[in-house]
Amino acid sequence: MSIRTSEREERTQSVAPGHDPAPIVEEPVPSSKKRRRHRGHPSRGASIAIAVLAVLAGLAVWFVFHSLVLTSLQEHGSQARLYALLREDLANATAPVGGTIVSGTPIALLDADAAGMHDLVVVEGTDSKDLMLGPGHQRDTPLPGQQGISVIDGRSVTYGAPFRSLEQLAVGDEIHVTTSQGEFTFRVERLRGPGDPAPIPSEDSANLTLVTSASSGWRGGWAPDHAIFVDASLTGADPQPTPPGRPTTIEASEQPMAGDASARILGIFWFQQLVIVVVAFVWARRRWGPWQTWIVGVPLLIAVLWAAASTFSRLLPNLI
Amino acid sequence: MSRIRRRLLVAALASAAVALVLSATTGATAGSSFSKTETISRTHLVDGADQVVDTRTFHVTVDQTTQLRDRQEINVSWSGAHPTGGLVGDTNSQFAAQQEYPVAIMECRGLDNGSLPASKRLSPETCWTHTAAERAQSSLSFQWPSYRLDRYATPADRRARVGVPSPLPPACLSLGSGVQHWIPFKAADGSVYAGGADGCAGIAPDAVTYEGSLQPSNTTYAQTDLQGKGSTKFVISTADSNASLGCSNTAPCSLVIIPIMGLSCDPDAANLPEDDRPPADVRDLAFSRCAATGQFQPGEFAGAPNIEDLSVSGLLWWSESNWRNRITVPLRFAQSANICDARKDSAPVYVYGSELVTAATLQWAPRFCLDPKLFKLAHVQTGEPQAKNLLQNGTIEAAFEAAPPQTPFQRPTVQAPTALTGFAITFQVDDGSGHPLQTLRLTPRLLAKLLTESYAGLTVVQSTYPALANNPLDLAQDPEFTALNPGAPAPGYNTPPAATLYSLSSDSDVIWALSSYINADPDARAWLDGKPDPWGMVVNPAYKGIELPVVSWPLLDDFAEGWLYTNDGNMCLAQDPTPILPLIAAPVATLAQLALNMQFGVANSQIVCKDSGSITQKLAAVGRENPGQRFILGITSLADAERYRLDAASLLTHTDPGAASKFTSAAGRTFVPPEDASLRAAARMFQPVEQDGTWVLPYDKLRSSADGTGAYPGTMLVSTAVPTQGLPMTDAKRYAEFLRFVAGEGQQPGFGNGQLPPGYLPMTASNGMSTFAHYTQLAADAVAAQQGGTVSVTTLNTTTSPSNGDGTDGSGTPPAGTGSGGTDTTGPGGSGPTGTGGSGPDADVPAIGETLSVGSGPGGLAAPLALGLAVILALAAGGTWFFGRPKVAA
Repeated sequence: MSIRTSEREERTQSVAPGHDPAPIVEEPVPSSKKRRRHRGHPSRGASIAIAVLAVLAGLAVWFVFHSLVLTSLQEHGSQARLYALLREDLANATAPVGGTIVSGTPIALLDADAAGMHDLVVVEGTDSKDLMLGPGHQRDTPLPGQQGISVIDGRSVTYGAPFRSLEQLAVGDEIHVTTSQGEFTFRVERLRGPGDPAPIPSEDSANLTLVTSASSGWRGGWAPDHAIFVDASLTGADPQPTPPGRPTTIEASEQPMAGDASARILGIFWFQQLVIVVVAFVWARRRWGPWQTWIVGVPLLIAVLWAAASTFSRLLPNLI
Repeated sequence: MSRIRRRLLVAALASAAVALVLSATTGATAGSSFSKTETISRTHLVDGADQVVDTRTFHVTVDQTTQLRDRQEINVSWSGAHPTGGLVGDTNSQFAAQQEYPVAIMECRGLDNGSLPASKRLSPETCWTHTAAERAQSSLSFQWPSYRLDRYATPADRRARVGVPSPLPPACLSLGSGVQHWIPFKAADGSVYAGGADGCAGIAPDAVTYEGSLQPSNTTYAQTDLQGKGSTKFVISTADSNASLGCSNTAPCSLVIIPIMGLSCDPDAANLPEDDRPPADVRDLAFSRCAATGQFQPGEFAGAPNIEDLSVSGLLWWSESNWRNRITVPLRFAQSANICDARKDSAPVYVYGSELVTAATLQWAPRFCLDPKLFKLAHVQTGEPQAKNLLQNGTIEAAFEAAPPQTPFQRPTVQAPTALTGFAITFQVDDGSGHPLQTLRLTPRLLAKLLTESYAGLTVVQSTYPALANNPLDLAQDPEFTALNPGAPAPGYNTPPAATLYSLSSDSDVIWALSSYINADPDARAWLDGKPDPWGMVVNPAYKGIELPVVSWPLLDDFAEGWLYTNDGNMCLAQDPTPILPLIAAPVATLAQLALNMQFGVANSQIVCKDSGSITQKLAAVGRENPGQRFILGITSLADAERYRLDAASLLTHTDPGAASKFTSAAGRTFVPPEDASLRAAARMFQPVEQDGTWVLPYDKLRSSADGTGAYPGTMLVSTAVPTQGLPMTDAKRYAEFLRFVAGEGQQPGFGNGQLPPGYLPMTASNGMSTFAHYTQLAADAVAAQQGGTVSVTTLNTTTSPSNGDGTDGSGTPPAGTGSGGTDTTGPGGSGPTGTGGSGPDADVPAIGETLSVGSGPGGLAAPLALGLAVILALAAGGTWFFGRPKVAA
C-alpha cells in the first residue's frame, strides 16, 4: 500500500538521528533496470490522495471487521458479567419483575436448545445500546411469564448474534425463561415474517414473542432486511400477575429495527477523537520516534477506532 | 315434513324458547314492588274462651324489593294498623322500640319457608336489631311480666329464663336473678351471640350496647297516624355494611314487617307446668298488665320515658303474638361490584375521576368483568381536576371529567360525553311542627351566603365579630330564605349547621359548576362584590370580591376571638385557637361522605369539644341532628340523592323583570328542582365550545332565555377524556369498546348490570342528546385508531393530526413512523399505522392481524456497503498510486 511505501521511505530517511530528513528525491534508476520504463513515486498531491483513500478504506474494513468479529467478543464479555449479576439476583429473588427497571439491568435467562440459545441473559430495554449486551426485553410489555405478551428482541448478525438461529425454531419447540418469578416453559406456536397472519392471543394467557432480523439470498447472514417474529405461549403453569408501574410507551429508538439517532452526537465526538489521535500519531512519529509512537499509539488508536465503530453501529437498526 | 324442515323447526322453537326465557328474566328486574294484606287481631284466652280485643286488616306495600344495593332506601307504606302512641322523634333509635303500637320493620337473614332447613329459615334470632335492649327483657321485681303470658308462645318460651346461657357469663352476674328473656343473634358466619339485657353475654360486632354511634341502625319502629296509615323509608344493608347480618345474593334476606297489636294473653296457662303458671293471687295483676292497651293516646308524643305499657310496645316484637302477624318480603340484591375484584383477571382498564358517575360505573363494571370476552373496568374515584392533571402528564390513560381542562390537553384527546347528571343541594329541614319539609327554594345569592361564611352561626360570634353583627344568625333567620320557604322553621330557631352548606374540601368540577352558577347571577355577583342585599346583609369581608368560578372552595375567614375562645366557652378552642367559621363549614373530601352525612342527618360542623377538660379533649362533629329539629343542607350528586331518597332543593333560574328585589314570596321567580324534565331542558342548553373540545352549560342563558327557565342549573355533563395518540393498542381498543358501550347500551335505565341507575338522564335521541351519543361513537373510533384524531364538537368531523413527529433521519436509520409498526400483539407504542384488520366493535371475534413488514432500510446494508466501500477506496488508492506516479524515463 502506498502508505507503507512512503513510510518506509521516510523511515529510511530518518534512520540517522540528528539528520534532517532529506527531501524525497527521485532516486537515480539503477543501470540494471535502465531499460525498463517504470513510474516514479507519486507526487505529493497524489500521495495525500492515496493516503486519504487508503485511510478511508481502512476505516471501512475496520468497521466490517469490528462488527462481524470484535462485537462478538464484546458481547461475550457483557454476557459473562451479566450472568454473574443475574445469578446472584435470582438466588436472592431480587431480580426486578415490575415497576420501572433501569435499562441494561439483567432480568431473565433465556434457553432454546432448538435455536442454539443457551443461558442467554436478557436485559431490559431494546435500544441499540441495550441489545449490544444481549437479547433485550421491550420495556412496555410485561416480563416473560406475566399475563400478556412479552417481547424480547435480539440481534442476528453482530454482537454475538444471539438470535441468529431463530428461524430454526419449529412449532412445538420449547423456550425456557427463568425470571425472579420462576421458570417458565413456552411452546413455540408460529413463526411469522412480513405478511403472515398474526392472531392476537387473549390477554389472560402469558405469551412470548422473540423478534430478530433475517434475510435470504446473498444478504443472508450479514445484511438482514426484515424483522421476523416467533410467537410462543406459556405451558404448564399459570401466568404470574403483572405488577403495576410499567411504562406504557417506549422511545422510538427502542422499536424493532430502529436506530438510535442520539448516537450521532457521540459519533461526531469519536470521529473528532479519531482525527486528534491520528494527527497526534503522525506528529509523534516525527518528534518522538517510530517505535515509541507505535507502542503507545496503536492501543490508543484501536480504542478510539473501536469506540467510533460501536457508536456508528448504534446508528444502525438495532436488530442487526 | 322433510328432515331439513323438521330440524329447522326444532331450531326455531328452541331459539324462541331461549329468547322467551331470556326476556322473562331481564324483564323481571325493574323495580318490583310487593304488596300484601292480612288480618291481624288481638285475642285473649280467658277461662278457655277467646276474647277478641281488636281485629284489623293490615295492608302493606314495599316499593322495591329487587336489585337492591347497600344503604339504598326503600319505601314501606301501609294502612289498617293501630295508631301509634308515645311517639319519639327518631324511629330508628333504640327509644323508638318503646313506642306503643309501632310498626316494626327489620331486615332478617333467611326466608320464611317452613320447608327450608333451619339454617336458611328466618326467625327472631336472625333478625337484626342494633341495640341489646331490643332483644332482651329482664324483670327483676315482678315474676310474671306480660311476655310470660303470651298465649301463642311455646311452653319453652314462657319459662322464667329463656335464652340465658348456662353457666351465666361473669359479666351478667350483676344482673341478678329474676325473669330473663333473651333472644340470641345468629350471625352470618355461624357465631351465636346470647346478648343479654346490657349485652353482657356478648353482642355481634356490628351491634352496640347503647346507641351512640353516628350510623344508626336500620331497624325501624315506624309510626302509624290516627287513620291507621303510615309510611317510612327503610335503609337496606348488605354484607358490605353489616357483616354480622351478612345479606347478599348467596345469603338471602327478607324484610319483616310486624304491625304491633299487643300481646294476646293467656293468664290461666292451663297446659303449662306448675312453675310457669301464675299463681292465683298474682293472676289478675299479671293479666291486667298483659292486656293493657297503652298509657299514651294515639298520636301523643312520649314525654317521660319508660312509662309505656310493655305488652303493646315494640320491644316485644319477637313475642309470638306479634311475630305471627309478620309479613315477610324476600329481598333480592343487585350483584355487588366487588364481584369484579374476586375475578382473577388480567390488569383492569383504569378510568380515573368523577364521583358523579360512581353509581353508573358500579352497575356498568359487572357487565364488563363478567363477560369473558371483555375486560375488567376499574373506576378510581378522584376529583376531576386531579384526574385531568394525571391525564395531562401521561400517568393515566383515561379520565372522567365534568368540565373542560384549564389548560388544553397536550396530546390529541377526545372528551366523549358519558352521562348527563349533576349535583343537588340536598336538605334535611324540619318545619315548626317537626315534620320534614319536602321542597326548598334557594337562590344563588343564598348559596353564596352559605358558602362565604357570612352567617355567624353562633350568637357569641355574632356579638363579637363586627362584620357579621348585622347579618342574620343563620339561614333560617334570613328574610330572603323565609320569604321563599314559608314553612321553614320560625325565627328563634338556631343551630350552627344552619349557617352553612356542607360542601367539598377537595378540587372538584362540582364546585366549579356551583360557583359558575353563582357567578352568573347578577344579584349574587353584586352581593359578593360588596353590595348589601335588600335586607341589609353583607358578605363576609374575607370573601369580598372573590373571583369565581373556582375548582376548590377556599375557607378564608380567620376570626378567632371572643368568649368562645376562653375556658368558659370552648376549652378545645381555648387551647388551640382555630377560626370558628371554617369549623362550622367543615367540608369533607368526597361526595360519598357528603351523601352518607345527608342520609343520616349528620351535621359535620366540628365545634363540639369532646372530653372537655381532659388531656384527650378534641373537637368533634355535632353529629346526628334529632329528627323533628333538623336543619342541614349539603351538596350531593344526583345519583346519590336518588339512591338514598334525599330531598333536593329547587334552584332559581329566572327572575321576571318586574319582580321585586325585596321580595316576600316566590312570586315572579322560577325555581326548578332536579327531575327528568328539567334535566332534559338543561341538556338542550349545552353549547359546544370548539377550543375546549366539549360542551359547556351557559349559566347566564339559563336566566335570560325562555328555554332556560325550565332547565335545572345543577346539570353537569360527565365526559370521558381519552388520548387518541400514544396509548398501547390493547388499552386503546378497550377504551373504545367502553365508549361504544356508553353511547348505546349503557344508557338503558334500570338496576341490572350494564344499565343506567336513576339520577342520570339517558343520552338518547328522545332526550334530545343524539349529538352526544353520536360524538361518543366517533370518539370511540378515534381512540381505537390511535392516530391523533380529534372530533370537532361543532361539526362532528374527525381530523387526524399528521404523524407523530418522532421521525429520525440521517445515517441510514429508517424514520420510526413508517417502518416500526410491527403488529398489535407486540404492542410497540402507538406510533405508525398498525393496520390490523377485523378488530372493530365486535370484541367476541379474535382479531387477526397481519405481520407488517418491518424493514431495516439502508442500515441493514451497512456491512456490505462498508466492504464495498473499502474495496472501492482501496482500488482508488491503488489506482492513484499506480497512475499517479509520474512517468520516469528510464
